Amino acid sequence: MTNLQWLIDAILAFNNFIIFYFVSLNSIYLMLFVLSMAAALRMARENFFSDSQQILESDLTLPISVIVAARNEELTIVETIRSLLRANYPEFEVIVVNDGSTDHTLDVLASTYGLRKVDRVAKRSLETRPVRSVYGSLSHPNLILVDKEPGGKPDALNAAINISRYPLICSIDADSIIEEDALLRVVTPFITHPEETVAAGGIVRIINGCRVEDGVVKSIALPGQGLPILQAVEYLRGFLAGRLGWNAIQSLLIISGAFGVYRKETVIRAGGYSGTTDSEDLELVVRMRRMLREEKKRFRMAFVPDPVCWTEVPTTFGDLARQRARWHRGLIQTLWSERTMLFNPRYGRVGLFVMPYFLLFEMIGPFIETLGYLAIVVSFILGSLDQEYLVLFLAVSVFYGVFLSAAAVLLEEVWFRRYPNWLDVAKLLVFSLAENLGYRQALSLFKIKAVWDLLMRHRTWGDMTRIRFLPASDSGKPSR
Amino acid sequence: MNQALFIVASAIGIVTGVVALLVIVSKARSDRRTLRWGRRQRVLARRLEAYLRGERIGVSAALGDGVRKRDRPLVEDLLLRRILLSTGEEAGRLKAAFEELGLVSAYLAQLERRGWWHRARAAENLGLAGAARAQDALLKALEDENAEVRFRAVRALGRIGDASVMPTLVLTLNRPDRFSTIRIANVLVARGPDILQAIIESFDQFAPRARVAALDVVAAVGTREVGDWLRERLGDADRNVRSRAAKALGAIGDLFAGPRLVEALGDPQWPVRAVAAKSLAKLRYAPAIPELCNALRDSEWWVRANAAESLRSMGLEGLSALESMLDDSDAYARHQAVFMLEEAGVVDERVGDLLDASNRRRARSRNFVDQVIESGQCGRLTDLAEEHADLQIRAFLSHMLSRDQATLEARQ
Repeated sequence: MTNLQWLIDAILAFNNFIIFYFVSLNSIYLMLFVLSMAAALRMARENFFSDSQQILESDLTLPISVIVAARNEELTIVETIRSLLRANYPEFEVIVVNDGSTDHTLDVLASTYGLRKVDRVAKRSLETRPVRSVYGSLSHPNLILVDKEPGGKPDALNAAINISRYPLICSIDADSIIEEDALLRVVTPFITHPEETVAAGGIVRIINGCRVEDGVVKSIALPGQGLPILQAVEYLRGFLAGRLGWNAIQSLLIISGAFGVYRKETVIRAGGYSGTTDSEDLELVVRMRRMLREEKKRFRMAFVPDPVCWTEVPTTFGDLARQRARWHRGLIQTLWSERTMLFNPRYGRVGLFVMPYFLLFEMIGPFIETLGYLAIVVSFILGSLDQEYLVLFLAVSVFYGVFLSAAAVLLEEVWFRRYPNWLDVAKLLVFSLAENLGYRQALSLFKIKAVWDLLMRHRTWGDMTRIRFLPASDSGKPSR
Repeated sequence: MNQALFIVASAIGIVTGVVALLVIVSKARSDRRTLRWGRRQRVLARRLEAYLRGERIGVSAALGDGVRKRDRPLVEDLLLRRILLSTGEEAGRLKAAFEELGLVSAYLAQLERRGWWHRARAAENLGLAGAARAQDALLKALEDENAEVRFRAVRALGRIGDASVMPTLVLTLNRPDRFSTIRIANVLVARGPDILQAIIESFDQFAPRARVAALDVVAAVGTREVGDWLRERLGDADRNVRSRAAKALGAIGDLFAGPRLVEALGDPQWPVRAVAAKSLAKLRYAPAIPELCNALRDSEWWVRANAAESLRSMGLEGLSALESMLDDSDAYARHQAVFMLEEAGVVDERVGDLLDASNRRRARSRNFVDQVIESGQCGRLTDLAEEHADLQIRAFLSHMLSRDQATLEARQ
């Protein structure tokens, strides 16, 4: 037994570290939640004024090029484009880039919108893989389809930027739907702070379970399956109790690729989307921040929780594992590529606080959390498991997490109230508990796998099994 | 220690339970309120309609025996929503209703409250309520410490202010640290041509950013009377002022601006050239066509793109100029010309004439198609070779495409 004493001592020391780590992590979450509450309150007070009509009617509202990268999206792309074309916005164009799809994405778009080839001449501000053809529509003059050689999502978005005509670009995922007024609302920071705003993101909610008709979400509900509900809780926590809080201290590091608006000139100057990481949205925002700080420019990146983008989330653990591994690879790659910003006062609070947080808690966190659980198992085997430690560990890791998830649901219910049914609210509360009992731990394992992938140099995008949006009239299960 | 841990775990559990309870209570309250307010608001809306139709003299009488305290927010909400859509006599009745119900006095009192949101809301509502007597209070609110309050005061003054407040409103453009220029510009635009004189008089006092915003306002509400003044701005030292002036000249349709805009096509700064090209199209100034053809060979992409669009929008003369560019030595000019001719339907029309009975038309269309093929932009022609309704045309066009392709390859 004495031979094992050093191991027991090491585990005990590690256990203490784990407790400290979780208290720190959850306290940061708590701080973000408090900031989010304050920001939501302010937003609710500002939202008394609906300036949408004025933005809609104004000649001075900046026109937007909405860009969509599509690869093998035949099941959802038509609804997505329909929702975009219905957007309530004075002047916009929709540019869809078919990035070498091997399914019928190109055909369904061409037949639905009567697209025909046009010899449009584009400015090549950013290098991309060759464009095969550009299509225009007689029935929808503001719709453009670019068919190009496969080059990945960043390459497709860059091709769309090249062909875009307007000063703002809005990237939207091909499996997402935006609400009619979403563009009007997300563009608000560009109007209230026109000189400084370079990017703004909106909240992304899950569409699984909602009914969609003509590109519009007709009824909002949570799905029957558990996995998407867990993600619904996670998204609420991430967006409402996370990004809203980061935004309150002007330290936003992520603008979701599913729905983000950028000043085109800044994106082009930063070099456009990069294909060197697996999370092009995060990488672009960090790179833009770096560039603007180095240029000593005053700038703002804003998160607007009101405009809603509905997106499809994975329904199987396999898809989820691939998606999260990709996101985590992207985080690691971005932190690595912008490592000079870390702990660097030149980059302000992003360099001194936000990026270190992402490094210590988001990137390394899954390892520490998993090792914490392993330490419990090893302690138990060695007979040194301390009951007090176990209770404390569960309190700071699981129960604290449950509290924060439930708090995010509260934020949703008090200020946003998107889910009209009692059953859905009950589901959110129950799954706030479940999210911390297994789901979060599974995500940690997926993230550890991401590191393994990086070491093994695996960089698959990990296509998600697409599901057609539920039609408003249909009561059956979604068809694959 | 055990007890302390138990307390920690219990505390987290209890707080989580309280949060869950709060969620439930919040949902129950909001559902109940929506239901109750909806019902009551429908009743009040019917009574308000009667007042607006003139069936009752006072709004209090129309709404019942005075307005109950708990109905006040509902009535206020109805009035605010309605006044946004009302004009004429109905708007007058609504304004009178705000006064009669004491809402204007309440808003004036709220302008002094501590919470910025109360002051902002009060300022906004004073504007909506058309409370002319609030003008002085709103002018004072322009110096509020909160940006939202300042903006709402500007907006309210934009709605209700008389001519005396125009110079003050216009000068807020010059304070971008205190007011968002786009938001202020929108307020000024909503004011209409009344604002032009104040802008022209204050223009020299403006900082560069404010000048640009002011010219955007002029572009939106300007009339031809400001043409002379705008043409002078084309000679400004600041390129942003020159380009915005060029835009405004197109927007107001100043027919005398053509020659000055043609000159602007030779400006050393490309944004001025690009906007001048666009404005010439708005004026349909045909004498500019040769210069626009030159602009198709400009070193800057946006100038070329706008020049091509302008030529396309100049009718037959412009299209004919674009056709003459098909054999231009500049590849970009050729490609842009093809694209514009496609967009204008000329390519389809000429292809339709390929087998026409008239020798002249046939020759002209074959020459045209040859030139398009030589330009290297054959996307539409390839489509037509596959999809044209006339089988013979399809065959002939395919033949032309393959023949010319072979010639091109041989040349290379």
